[in-house]
Amino acid sequence: MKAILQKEFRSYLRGNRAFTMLSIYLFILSGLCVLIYAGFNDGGFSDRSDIGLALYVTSAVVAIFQLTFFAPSLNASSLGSERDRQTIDVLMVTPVRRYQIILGKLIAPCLFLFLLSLASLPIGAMALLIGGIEIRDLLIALTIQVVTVLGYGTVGIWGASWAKTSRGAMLATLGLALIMAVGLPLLALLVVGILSNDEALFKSIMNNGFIRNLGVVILSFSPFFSLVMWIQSISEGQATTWTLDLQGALGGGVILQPWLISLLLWLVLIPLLIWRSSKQLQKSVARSSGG
Amino acid sequence: MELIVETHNLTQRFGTHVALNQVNLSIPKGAVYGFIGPNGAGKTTTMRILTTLLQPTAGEALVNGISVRQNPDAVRKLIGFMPDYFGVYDSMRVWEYLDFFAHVYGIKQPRRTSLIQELLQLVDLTEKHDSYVMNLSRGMKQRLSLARTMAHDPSLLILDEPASGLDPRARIELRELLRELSRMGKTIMVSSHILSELAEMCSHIGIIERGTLLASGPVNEIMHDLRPHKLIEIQVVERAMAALQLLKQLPTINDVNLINELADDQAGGKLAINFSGTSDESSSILSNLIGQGFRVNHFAERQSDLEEVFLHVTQGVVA
Ligand SMILES: Nc1ncnc2c1ncn2[C@@H]1O[C@H](COP(=O)(O)OP(=O)(O)OP(=O)(O)O)[C@@H](O)[C@H]1O
Ligand SMILES: [Mg+2]
Repeated sequence: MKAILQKEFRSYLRGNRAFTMLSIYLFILSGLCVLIYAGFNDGGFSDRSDIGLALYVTSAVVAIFQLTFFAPSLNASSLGSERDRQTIDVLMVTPVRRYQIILGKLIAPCLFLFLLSLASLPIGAMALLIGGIEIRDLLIALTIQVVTVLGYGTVGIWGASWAKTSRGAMLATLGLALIMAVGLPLLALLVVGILSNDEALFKSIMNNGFIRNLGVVILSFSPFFSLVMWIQSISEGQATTWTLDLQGALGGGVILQPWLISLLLWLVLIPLLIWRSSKQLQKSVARSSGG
Repeated sequence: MELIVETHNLTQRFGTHVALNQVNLSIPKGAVYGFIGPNGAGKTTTMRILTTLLQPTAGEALVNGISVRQNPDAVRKLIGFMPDYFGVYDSMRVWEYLDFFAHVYGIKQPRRTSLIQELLQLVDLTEKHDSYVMNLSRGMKQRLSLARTMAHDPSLLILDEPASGLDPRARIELRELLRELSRMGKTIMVSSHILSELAEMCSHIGIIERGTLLASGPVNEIMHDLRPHKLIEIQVVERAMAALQLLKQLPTINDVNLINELADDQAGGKLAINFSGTSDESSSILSNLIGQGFRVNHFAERQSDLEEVFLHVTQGVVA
């Protein structure tokens, strides 16, 4: 597996793809932050901590959003391109194990994406200096980014183990990631919106702890959702790291912070997907006639 | 005779399509085995089963006595596989490519560095050590790919259509290379749909069509079995018509034909004899002609060419 990683890194460093992505990523990120900052300056003096928070929120949301695009597509093409060029066959007649191929193909792009996410740290540090957030907030944002990268990364790999071409895999897994990231929360909003027309029904559903918790867990598949939830807690100024006090809303009570649920969910899902991908890879290669 | 490849009733179905039908292959150690068949015959399928990429629907395949189904890992260590495409990474340098595979096969430094030199020397790509793979010609990529299959010193090389797309010169180089590998003691299984490509270099051949193995064994035996009838070409300087009459009366000859039109009775010409006797008998045909005063300036058994054998055999099955 060391060999595979070494090869992958070499090709990352060599192609200018990595450099291009890094530039795009930082450009979008810093551009937006500058806009926010400028916006605040124009609006006259305001609370410094508002600026810090706004920077934090922008950089975290933009980072997650970009990673949601990059993670599945980069990983899908990482494995998919081997299948396109059928170099995967040659690799699979060597004694490397299937899961090692999968892991190698996963880890290399993910490390690169971590690098992207670290590259946005200076903006976070700036927010920290300006005030309004704590180190803890940065760490949680980073954790959510790691979950995004690894989670959607394995989804990308898994898709590529199925799909016939890397293009297909990229599109399919990107779609899947977007549905999970944005589609699920939007759907939830819609459902909540419709239900809230009928107050009695709404209350009866939300007061049913099981349904509500299930809803939260499903939504936590979206790291994007858990980030938004976290941001909401800190902007209300009463965030507790591990748990979320609903304070009477949605049936009340205390639940785990969605970011933590997200982390736990994906910790289970990722190994599962890696295992499935290894199996599927063997099948897909057998099915392809080999040119 | 020790076998390195054996298959027992090997069968592969894709849906309802039978790609391999109860194939019983045997390849002895040290052979250069030409695996020949038209497009879609099942050559690649067989090779993908032997290389553990494909699980057969039924039957068994053994490499060096090890079951491809039960112990694919052990089989992978024994074989080097070159698919009918190169399987090369374009954005790598030549040495990196070989280094990668040597690494994958668990060969440690500093042995790897010297191994790469040896492999490049073997396939005559030493000067290309630092070139990018994408800048190599087709023939060079092919040789690089072959070098890769040798990285772990396998005892069996499985090469799927290695000569396809190569120019005549590259083909000759490839053939030389395979000879060299064979001298090094490797067993080589090489497929092609063009027989002449393999003709001179194979010790054994197998002919497959539509998933059925039609013939398999040492080259000369197969040719003997399949072509009991030899063709002898004769050219006489004059009186071809009379020669024809004479030959028709000889008991050992099945059939005689004139190959060219004759201007008149006295003209010389070419005759073709369909003959199934021994070489003693064929020499007596010649002495007979000379004894009768014919001036013979050409008398030769047509080299039975594998191509013909192939056509002959495969036509038997295609309805
Ligand atoms: N993965 C697959 N799914 C369905 N059918 C397949 C598959 N692989 C091969 N076949 C079919 O099996 C038959 C044998 O194919 P195979 O590739 O082994 O032939 P081949 O002898 O290698 O031919 P060629 O000279 O064209 O390479 C063909 O009819 C092919 O269409
Ligand atoms: Mg083929």
